Amino acid sequence: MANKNKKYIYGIYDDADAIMDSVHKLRGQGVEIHDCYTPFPVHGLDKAMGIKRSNLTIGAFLFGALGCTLAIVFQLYVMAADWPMNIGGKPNDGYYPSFIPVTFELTILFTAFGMATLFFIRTKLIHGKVEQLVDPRQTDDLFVLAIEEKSHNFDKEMVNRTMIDGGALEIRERELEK
Amino acid sequence: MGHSHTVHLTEERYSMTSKTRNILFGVLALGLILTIIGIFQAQGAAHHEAAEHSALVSTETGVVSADAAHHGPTWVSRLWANLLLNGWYTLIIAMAGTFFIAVNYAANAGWATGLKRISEAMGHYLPVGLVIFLLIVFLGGDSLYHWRADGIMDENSPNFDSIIASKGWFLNSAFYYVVAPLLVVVFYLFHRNFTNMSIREDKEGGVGFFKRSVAFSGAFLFLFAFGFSILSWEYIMSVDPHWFSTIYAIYNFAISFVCGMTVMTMITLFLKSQGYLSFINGEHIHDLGKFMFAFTIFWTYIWLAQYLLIWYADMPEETVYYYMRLDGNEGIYQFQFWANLFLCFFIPFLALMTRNAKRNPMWLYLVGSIILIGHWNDLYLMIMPGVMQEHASIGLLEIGMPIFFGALFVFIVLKAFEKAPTFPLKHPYLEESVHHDVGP
Amino acid sequence: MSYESPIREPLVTGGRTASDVTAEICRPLENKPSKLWWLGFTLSIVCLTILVYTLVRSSFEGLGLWGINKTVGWAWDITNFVFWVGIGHAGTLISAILLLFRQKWRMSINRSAEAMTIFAVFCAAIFPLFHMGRVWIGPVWALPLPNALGSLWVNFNSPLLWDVFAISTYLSVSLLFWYLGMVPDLATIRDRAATPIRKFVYRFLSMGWDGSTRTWARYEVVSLILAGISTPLVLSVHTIVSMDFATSVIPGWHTTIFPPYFVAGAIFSGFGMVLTLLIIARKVMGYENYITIGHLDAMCRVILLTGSMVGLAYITEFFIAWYSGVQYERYAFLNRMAGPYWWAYWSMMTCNVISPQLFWVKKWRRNPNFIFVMSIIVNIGMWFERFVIIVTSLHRDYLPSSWVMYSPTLIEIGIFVGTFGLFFTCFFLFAKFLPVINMAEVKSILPGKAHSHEAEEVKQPDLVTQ
Repeated sequence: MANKNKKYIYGIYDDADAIMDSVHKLRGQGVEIHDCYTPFPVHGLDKAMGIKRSNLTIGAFLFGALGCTLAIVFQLYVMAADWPMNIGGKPNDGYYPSFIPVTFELTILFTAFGMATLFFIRTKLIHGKVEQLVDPRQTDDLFVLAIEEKSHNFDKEMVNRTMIDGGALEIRERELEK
Repeated sequence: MGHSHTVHLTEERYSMTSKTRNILFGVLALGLILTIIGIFQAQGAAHHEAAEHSALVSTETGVVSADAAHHGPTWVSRLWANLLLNGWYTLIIAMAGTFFIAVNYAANAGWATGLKRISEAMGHYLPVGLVIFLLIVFLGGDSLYHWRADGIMDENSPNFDSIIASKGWFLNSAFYYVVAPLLVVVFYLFHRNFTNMSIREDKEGGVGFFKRSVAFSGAFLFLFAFGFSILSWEYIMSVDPHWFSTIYAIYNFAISFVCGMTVMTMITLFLKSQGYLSFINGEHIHDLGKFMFAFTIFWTYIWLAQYLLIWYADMPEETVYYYMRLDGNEGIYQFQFWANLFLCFFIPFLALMTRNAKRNPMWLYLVGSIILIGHWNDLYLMIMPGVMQEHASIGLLEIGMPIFFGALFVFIVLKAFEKAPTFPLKHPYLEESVHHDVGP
Repeated sequence: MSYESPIREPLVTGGRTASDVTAEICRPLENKPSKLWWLGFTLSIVCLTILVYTLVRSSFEGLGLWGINKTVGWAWDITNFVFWVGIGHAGTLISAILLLFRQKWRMSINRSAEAMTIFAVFCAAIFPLFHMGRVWIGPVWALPLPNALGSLWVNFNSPLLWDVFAISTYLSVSLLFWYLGMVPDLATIRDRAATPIRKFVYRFLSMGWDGSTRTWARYEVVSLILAGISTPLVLSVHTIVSMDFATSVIPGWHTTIFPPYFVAGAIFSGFGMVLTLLIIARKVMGYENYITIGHLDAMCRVILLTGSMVGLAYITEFFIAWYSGVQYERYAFLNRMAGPYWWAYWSMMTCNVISPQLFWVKKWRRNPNFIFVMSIIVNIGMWFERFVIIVTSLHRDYLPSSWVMYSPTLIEIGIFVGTFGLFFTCFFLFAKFLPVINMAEVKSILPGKAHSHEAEEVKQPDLVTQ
């Protein structure tokens, strides 16, 4: 790579439908969408951009299974293996229905926090991170369509025109260090 | 997302193909034949067992033999018990149809509008189901319910049972012959009202019918909650007349709804495969699958609430119920008891977990069948130990009869479905249902 | 893509645009608090002081200051514990169950209801903790620590321990859900921040959120799964609370319907509290366009539904107590109705079962003043329900020689009043420093031009009648 920096073109919109239309048109012309920044989740925009459904659910399932297993093993260890006690005549030699509530709670706990951690890692969200905004109003009422300027046969003219025709309020360009 | 496509809806009517009819009649006949062979089989088995048993009883105490004499389950009780099981099973599935209509109105939900006629058709099984059910309990009551035995509430009779006598204010003919059946009639009147309004809405349009349906739904749900409780206490819980559980009606409701949603999903898939309801797509199927999944968990929750609390408190008057299904009754129910948890919970829970599973028709047919077999087994465990004690077994009778009832149910529902357009043409939420999207 | 039937009430009124939403929801955060806020906050702090005072005395002088005795060992404290935990349930219900059922009206009330959940759980936790007597060591005994470190291993057969796990899981998962839902809004506040401190704090909290669609896509999946697992979680919490009672062999406590019945009651009471708070908040903060009469109507329907479910459970319990033929069960229920605590029982019945039936009348469901009164009645009723269950079942036990009456001491009353102080202090701080309404979600349901364009296209069902 000769150029270390990445160049981006941004189209700024004030309407969710307009940005959606532009994404459809640009994708129809073979342009890859780098990202869209929106103040709220625009329904279907991810599909339009060609983002695949997240696999976080698999992670969630695995964490849940882990929590469930740990809870079962731990309760068995405490109640049956390490220090069996006779409390109120309840059996203490295996897994009994009275262990189900704690098993359930730990399954949920592990699923929730495991999945959330994966989410934060995957989306690179972390406390103290300084945000990279195109426009401060992109978290208020503006929608930003970002396209990376690729070196090979990138038709900047066409991209700009499509965005302006699609209702973009303005076009900005920026170079970011990689 | 092509958010500009317009769906053209054409009024369509279902008509049962001769192939469907022939298959249904075939299955119906198969069920009937199996049932009849099963009856003979049961007769044979009962004679055989009676010969063995009489030898045993004569050596035991008088209490046991007196009990056996008055309540010795025969092949007749087995037949009635099976009829009760399947009659109740199909009846509560039909009720789930009406319930689903009402709950969607009450919750102001739009997505299922396109499926409304299917739930309406399911509810149309109610009158047939009620007649069959009443025939069963009225004619077979003496074989089914121990509390109906002669002199059981009469202090001077040798047959007197003080615990059962103390329930005489509820377990009596007034509730048995009048109140409980009337409740189902009321449910059906509500159902008729819903469907009539829906048909008139097709012709006249406007939101008036919608608003009235919402009001009726509130009233129906209120009545249903109380009525369904009384029904399940009177006809099913009283099979074990000594035993009691406050959650019992909710348990029955859980079975009703999870099976109702499963049946609805399967009928929807069938109708789609026949080329009807083309606007019902993966999104709706996905949501139906979610209902199957969610209420599988709900059923498990209710099952566990009952089992865990009774197990934990360990009071004899309650644990007897589980004892009779595990170690008691010579342990004949033990396998089915544990298998039940797999059929009704573990398998559907794991099988319906992913998004793709809830959108795959063949998979839904398969898991749906497991759920339906599972809850048949569930009801078997609720009814058989009370009626048959250690004399129950699974033969051709137990296999044939659900096949017969199932085919009958599907036939009546599909016939009812023929009578109206396949979806409510002018329901104010129809358009929402057409454009339904589950989201992430 | 979603289509809204024209007969649905708009969820946001007054023609608000996305930037209006931002401006209006951020207003309390960016301006000095009003006099009303200060008044309420001061009052709450006063109550909070009472809490601190009564708890300190209870810890130093011991639980002899409470009215509990040998027969009635659980009374005021556990009543309040269950009362507060129950209130917490509405928050998770609104954000999780209503999300699964696609009830869009939840969007403008879920944030405050979730906050309420968390604060209510704080209040609830106080009671069992201080009932342990030695609060500096009791919580350690509730942790699963090996024998060498504490007393002995905890007893996993005990429903009280299940409660420790349930409540702490519930609190932490609710906090996570609440915080995760707030991250995009915190970013909005960050990007409007005028002072460096505000910028710094909200930048830290918002984790560098930039509204990327790639993030949103994953965010929605995570929210949905969290909602999916929070639904059984919220059911499990009150289920396990109910098992504190139902696993015992005490008449009136041991009954299998307790789990779903407690859950319905919890939702009922929670919605009572949500209505109390939101009717004030929408008025004081001027959010009538976001929390509309339609929202109140929907919540009243939930009250009606859950109130009727609770009524069904009361009747079922009574029915089965009679049906069972068990003399102790029968006596327990007779004693509730006609024993010395009859007034508590009939207050409960009136407030929980009879009064919610007034919500069948649509006009009343849409009258904020009427709803406000009703919401308080519901709260009173649900408090009495727990009191009735706990005290009437205990005060006349199997041994008539130990029958006693229970009445709270001033210290106990002080703790209860004090928890309201804690609850409202937290709520006032929340209303000042965090966005009370979920801005991002509300923006997505604005009936603005983004949607009207779509609606025009499919306004009338395109039906070809043959």
